[in-house]
Amino acid sequence: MLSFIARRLLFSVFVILGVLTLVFVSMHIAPGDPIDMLISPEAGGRANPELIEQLRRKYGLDRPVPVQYLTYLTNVLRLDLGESIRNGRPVAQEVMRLYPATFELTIASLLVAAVLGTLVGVVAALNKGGFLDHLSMTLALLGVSLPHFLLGLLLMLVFSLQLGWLPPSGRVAGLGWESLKHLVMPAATLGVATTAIVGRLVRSSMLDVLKEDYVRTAAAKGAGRAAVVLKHAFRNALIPLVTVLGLEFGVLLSGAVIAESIFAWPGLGRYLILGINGRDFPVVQGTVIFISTTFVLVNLLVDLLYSFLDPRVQYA
Amino acid sequence: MQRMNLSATSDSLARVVRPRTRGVRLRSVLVLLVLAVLLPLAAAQSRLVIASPGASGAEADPQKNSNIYGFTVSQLVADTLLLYDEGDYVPALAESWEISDDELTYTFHLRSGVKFHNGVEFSSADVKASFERVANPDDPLPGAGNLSGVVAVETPDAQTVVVTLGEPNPDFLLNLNGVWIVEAGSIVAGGVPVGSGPYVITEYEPDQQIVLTRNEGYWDGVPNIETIVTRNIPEPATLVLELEVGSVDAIMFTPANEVARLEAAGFQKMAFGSVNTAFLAVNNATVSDVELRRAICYALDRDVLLNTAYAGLGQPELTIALPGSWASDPSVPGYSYDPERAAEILDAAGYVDTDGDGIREKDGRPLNLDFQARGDGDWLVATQIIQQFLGDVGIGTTITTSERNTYYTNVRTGAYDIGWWIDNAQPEPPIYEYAFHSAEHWNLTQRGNDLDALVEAGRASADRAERAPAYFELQRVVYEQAVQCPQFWIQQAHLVSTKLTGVKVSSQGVMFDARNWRIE
Repeated sequence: MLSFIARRLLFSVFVILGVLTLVFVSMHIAPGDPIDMLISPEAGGRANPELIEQLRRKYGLDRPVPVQYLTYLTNVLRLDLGESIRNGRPVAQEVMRLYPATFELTIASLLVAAVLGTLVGVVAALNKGGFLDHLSMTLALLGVSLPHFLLGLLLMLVFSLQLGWLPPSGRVAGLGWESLKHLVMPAATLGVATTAIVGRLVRSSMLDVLKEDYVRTAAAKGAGRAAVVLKHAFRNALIPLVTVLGLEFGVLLSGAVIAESIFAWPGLGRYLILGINGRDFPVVQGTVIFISTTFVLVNLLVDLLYSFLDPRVQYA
Repeated sequence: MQRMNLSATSDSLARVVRPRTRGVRLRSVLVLLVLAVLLPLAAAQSRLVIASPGASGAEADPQKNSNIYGFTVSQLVADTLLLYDEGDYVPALAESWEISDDELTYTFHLRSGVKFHNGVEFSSADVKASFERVANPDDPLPGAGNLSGVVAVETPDAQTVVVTLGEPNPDFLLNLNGVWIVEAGSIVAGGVPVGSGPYVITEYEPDQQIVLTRNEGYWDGVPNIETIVTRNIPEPATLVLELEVGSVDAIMFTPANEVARLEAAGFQKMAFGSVNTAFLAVNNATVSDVELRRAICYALDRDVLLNTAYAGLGQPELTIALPGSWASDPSVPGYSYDPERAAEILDAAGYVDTDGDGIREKDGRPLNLDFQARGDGDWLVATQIIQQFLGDVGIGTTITTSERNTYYTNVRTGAYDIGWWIDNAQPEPPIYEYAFHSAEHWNLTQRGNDLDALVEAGRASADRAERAPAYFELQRVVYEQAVQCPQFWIQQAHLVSTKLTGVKVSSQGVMFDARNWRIE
């Protein structure tokens, strides 16, 4: 088990290094110049060649790209993610500051998806071919198809403008009532597509498991319907769900980009967008390191969970 | 309780009721007491929430802001030497100033009794330190361009600053409107330097919100509003909703298509930007045929463009000079929508549709231009409308959309034939001139340096009578050479609640004079 974890962690280092290189290369291949955003025409930016040269020197953009890459890698190894070109703030510090907001939103939407999706999936499976099955699967289809942007604005129109129950945007840190009120709409918006995926998956997984011999045996032994469903069928139907939730975690982390913009949620997603738009290389690279590290670790956790859910799965 | 009372005797009823009455009385007194304490507090608590759709938030450091929303925050926390207000220069930290006859030396007499937020008294050393920080060649700040040309800053005494320029710059005072003064000691100490503005930042969450509390010791009097919150809401639709819900009192840069609706719903419109120029940029190097450029300019219907893509917010711009201004030569006609004329010019220049596909050809090659476009909002709408106008006269275009930064870089570096452009020009001079100089970062024309002399001649003096001929000539050349196709002076608007009064908005959109803002 320990050697498995060690191997996976070592492998993760290479994954993250690969991601880093990909991001570096794509940011530098993509057209666009960070200096153009510092002196943008919207703000009436005026500059002579001398000032432009000074700015390039300041941000190390005057050096050859391979040198920039090597400098960047060495700095990352020393845990120095550099400073934002846009505002000069240390990227590591900013990412640590914004990470809790994104993590909170991702976990909340994953929770929404896991609970609602499982419920929908189990109900649909138990009513296979019935009205509830068709209704829940139609809703699931709708959930997958609705773009975050549209759903977010619709929720805002109903719950903020019409009913006045929830604040349209922003975040209040902490665990209070106000925090929860701010969290509901972004989490629902972000989680609805995953809810739909989870619902469909749990349904088909439950249907498969319900056909298994051991379920029939359990029913034949005289176990009650609830015990058959929850104890014998559900736990086994969970394995594919855990895999999907692990992968969806990554999708939600990156999906947070849109939800965070709509709801002015101060997380990594917004930070990343600002970084990309401003060609703020250190910001993009630093954020991607954090997101990919989280993703890799969560998937390691998922793999470890298998052996808990199904004792037949062993790691050596 | 009611059921119990029904079955009770009159005595027990009295027993039940009496303590309640006493309780109610006690509670009423307490409530009144609490209200008496809280009400005056509540009345005095005035809070204003401003939100901006800008992609990036404002900096706490007043000298590090690089967008209009940021400048609004800078204006709250720090002061400039002077303000530009409706065409006049108004004293701020400088009480008065003199300009030498050769226009190279500016002497500023500073206000006395001004204190920074940390209690330190303002003096000429702070001005010098602030200038040096902004224009530090090893670490230039966003406003460094405002101080280009400054060769020396001297402080003969605590209340006097003498600034020497290498060559005359008639816009120097205007530029100073964008250089915020911070306390010299706080620059040395590092961190966020301290200003002397009407508000002090008490909470700062980058790219999210800033909470500011009024500066009770402000030199120009105590501001009316106690607390100002500035929020950054990236999505324009959310921004508008926040205003409608009432959680925000003012939204900056309202999407053009929402302005009329919000105004009808009872919000105040604060329009600005009479010198923001919107034009079709033309790469003079790749579209080198002046007749083709003239035809392009004649093919565009600026009224349809303005009304469709910008909800009619703006006024027609026929030439690069603001009509009626001292820099404008009324004898230069500019291009008006005339598709027949465009067709005639193209025919005469040898662009003819020989294969009947609607697109003209010359020397066997179809006339097809690389039309670079910004993919967001009004920008793409405008691009598509222009594509249609050009198609109507037989000019083919291929639109390539990209996001803002890529688009800007493409056009600036000449990787385009035509592109829609909006430039936030300065209010002075009233002509869009600076971008025609080859050394300017945003020179989009790719023409080389043939217009440099005219731009420089316009800047050579502060005397308008001396400057005007150069601008007349520039205006005429840009028209005759069809260097670009000016379309309109575009306006933008902040929409604010009617509860808010006293706000001034600069031609670029900066909300200023915060000391006199008032909210009911």
